[in-house]
Amino acid sequence: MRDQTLAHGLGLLAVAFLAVFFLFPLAAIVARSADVEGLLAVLGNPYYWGRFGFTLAQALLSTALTVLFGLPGALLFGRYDFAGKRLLRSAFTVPFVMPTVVAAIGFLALVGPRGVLGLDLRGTLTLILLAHVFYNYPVVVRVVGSYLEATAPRLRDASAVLGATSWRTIWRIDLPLAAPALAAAAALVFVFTFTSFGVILILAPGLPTVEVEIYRLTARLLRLDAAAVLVIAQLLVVALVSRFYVVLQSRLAVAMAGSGRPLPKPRTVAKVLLALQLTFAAVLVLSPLVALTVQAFWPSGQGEPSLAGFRALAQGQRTATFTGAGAAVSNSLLFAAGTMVAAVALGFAFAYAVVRGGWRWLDEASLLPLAASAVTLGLGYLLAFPRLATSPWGLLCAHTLVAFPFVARALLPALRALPASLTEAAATLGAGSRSRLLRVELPLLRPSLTTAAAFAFAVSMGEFGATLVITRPEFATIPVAIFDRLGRPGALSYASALALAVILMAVTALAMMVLERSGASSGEL
Amino acid sequence: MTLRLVDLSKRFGSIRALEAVSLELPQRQTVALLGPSGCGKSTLLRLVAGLEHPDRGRIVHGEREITGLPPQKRAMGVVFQDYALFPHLDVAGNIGFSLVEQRRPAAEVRGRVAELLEVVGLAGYERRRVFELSGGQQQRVALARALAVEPSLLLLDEPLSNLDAELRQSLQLELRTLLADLGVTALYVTHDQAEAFAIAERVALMKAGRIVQLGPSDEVLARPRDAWSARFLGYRNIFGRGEVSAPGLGPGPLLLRDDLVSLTGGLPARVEAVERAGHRLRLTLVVPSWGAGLTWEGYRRELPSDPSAGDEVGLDVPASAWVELEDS
Repeated sequence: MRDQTLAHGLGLLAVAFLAVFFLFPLAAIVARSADVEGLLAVLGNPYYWGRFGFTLAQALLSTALTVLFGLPGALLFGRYDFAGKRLLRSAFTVPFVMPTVVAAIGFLALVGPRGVLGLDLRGTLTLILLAHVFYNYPVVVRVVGSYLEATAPRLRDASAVLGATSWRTIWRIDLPLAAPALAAAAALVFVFTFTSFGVILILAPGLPTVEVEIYRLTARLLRLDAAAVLVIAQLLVVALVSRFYVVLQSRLAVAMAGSGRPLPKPRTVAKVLLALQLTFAAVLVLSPLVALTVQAFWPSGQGEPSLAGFRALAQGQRTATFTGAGAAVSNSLLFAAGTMVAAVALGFAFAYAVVRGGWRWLDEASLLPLAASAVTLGLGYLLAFPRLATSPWGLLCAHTLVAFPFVARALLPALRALPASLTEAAATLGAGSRSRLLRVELPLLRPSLTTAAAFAFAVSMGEFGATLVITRPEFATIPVAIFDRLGRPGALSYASALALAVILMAVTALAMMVLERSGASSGEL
Repeated sequence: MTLRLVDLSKRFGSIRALEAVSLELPQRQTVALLGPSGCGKSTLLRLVAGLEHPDRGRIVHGEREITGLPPQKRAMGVVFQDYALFPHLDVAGNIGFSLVEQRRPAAEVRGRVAELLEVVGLAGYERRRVFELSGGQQQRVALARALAVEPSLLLLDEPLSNLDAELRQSLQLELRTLLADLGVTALYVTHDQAEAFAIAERVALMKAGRIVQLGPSDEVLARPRDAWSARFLGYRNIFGRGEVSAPGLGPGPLLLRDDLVSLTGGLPARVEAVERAGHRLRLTLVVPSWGAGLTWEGYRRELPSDPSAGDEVGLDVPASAWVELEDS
């Protein structure tokens, strides 16, 4: 149908928002980077070259390790149906949604100076890699596993009928089939780990990545010109790899069509492998969170449970620069609620223009905010809107943009999957474009909208990088308040940071339960 | 109000879906658009519904030109091939959709829905979820929904193609009776010739974006225009120019309707092969005096004896069994 005015109207609103609150700040960074002094400060300084090399190396290493650990899981996931698969799939959304700060503290609680294991890995590359594998192992299993799940079963049957053993089938069918999905997952993991921020800042501040350097230049040293140069360097690498990811994604979408046959149950050897894999996954995903919970209630060195951390929180605001726990929680909830509404509205308008308005060229733009890191966004806001950036509205815009890719990627496939004949039927029954949207499309998209809203909520609750750059103490959110407490000396600060992290974890877990119950797939990411 | 389609053309990229198609839909009649897949019949229906817009040509409804009108302003009922029932609404919600769109009072909507459910034989089904219904029931709900606002024209796009053979046949009869009782004007798209002739008063035969033959169903069936039409309608014995010579026949291409040929006459023929097609027999016959052969299909009881290859039989071929075709 030609009647696309509404879709284009919504699309224009979305594009306008992205232009003002995303592209303009980026442009401000680019403009600022064209500064001789800043260029010299960065390019003429071997230190930054070193940090760039380190960032690249740890990202490549993290990606390789994640793929190495994730591939067996993905192959098993895509091959078999087993008891607890659904549960495991949900468990794999944990690192996706769990705020960086929570996971990072979890690792501190596990292998930090006061860790439950009594092994101090703080400040080591090992810990960085461990945390990165934690975050990204599920990415590999989900992306590659569900791809194999959807494409391979029938081909596997064919391969067996043609005389190949299971091992040969893995070698000749699964692996070649999975290659593009694996490459896509690896690209995604690389982007995430290359721009790693919270993990580094908390677990190994002595091994800063480019993203952390950008933050320090911006927030501590106030060298915005030098920060802008680093942003451009980082952006070039990320843009290149993201582009690769997008190309692979579009190819996967074509190959995904078809199938739907149930998967077989595993047999003896596979069962053992599966059990090992499940244990590994469970330990990896759960141990930091368990350690966090344990330490929050049973501080190390004390035999009995103690709520000292929570009590310290409850005592509230002490000084002007120190955000009270109550204020942080209510700030976080307010921002998350606002982000939920704004990001879902933005994401829906965007997806509607892409699918219903036929603006396919816009599709990939939904990944842009993901490619530009959170700290970059914060810096861009400081440069582009110095006044707005430090107001609650600036923070809300930043959170909305960080959540936007997740929302758009959840809504795009759902909207595409709506049969065209339903809207056509509505039109022949007298429904105009507005009526079709309100009476047919929105009600049908409800599960996906719920998913998207829960994602947006969780992302905003956990957002750290952008918030840390632009926030003022009175608007500090839970992650910032946690970081604040971690940076202060004393066992009580540490205990209250743990307590606050437990609260954040609980709220996020709640959002995740909504995600799970809505039943819609979490989309294309 | 009659609907007139004048010189409609539509291309999709390099594919010419419709080329200068003209058609008039007489009131209170059902016209079937019949043709193989890809012939443009569904595109034509979508143009009439307003779901696509023609590159050229006009659509005139009564005195009013509606070519550029969006679907929601055309007040036509459409039954989609996949029914397109709204999964988030119950049966009543689906059927009453257009009435709510017209801001009719709730009580009136309820009454009209009940009335329509009565018409399609689903009285009392208001609160059912649509995915709980069988295929045949979904089809009825789709029909009731399309009829809700008393459309001036009902468009049906292969409405029975998703049902199994038995149900399809009983619904064909029901649909024909219903359309006649309601006195609606309908355009019925199908690729199934048996269905077209079972339901429609008039048939438009389509091929490669054009209407190649149009007329009352009986006439189209009895006198296909050319070899392609005859073959599409299921006839088997088609002879090109000069391929057969028999007294009283013209020189052009011919169709021999074997349904009018009996095997109890005096024209000598020889059985070449015998095939069984379910309960029926299919004989390949050669008629030496024609210098040609034919395929005959019928039941065993129409034959004097059990046939086998090599038998001599006598045919009765009335003059009416020959249909002169146009060169295609």
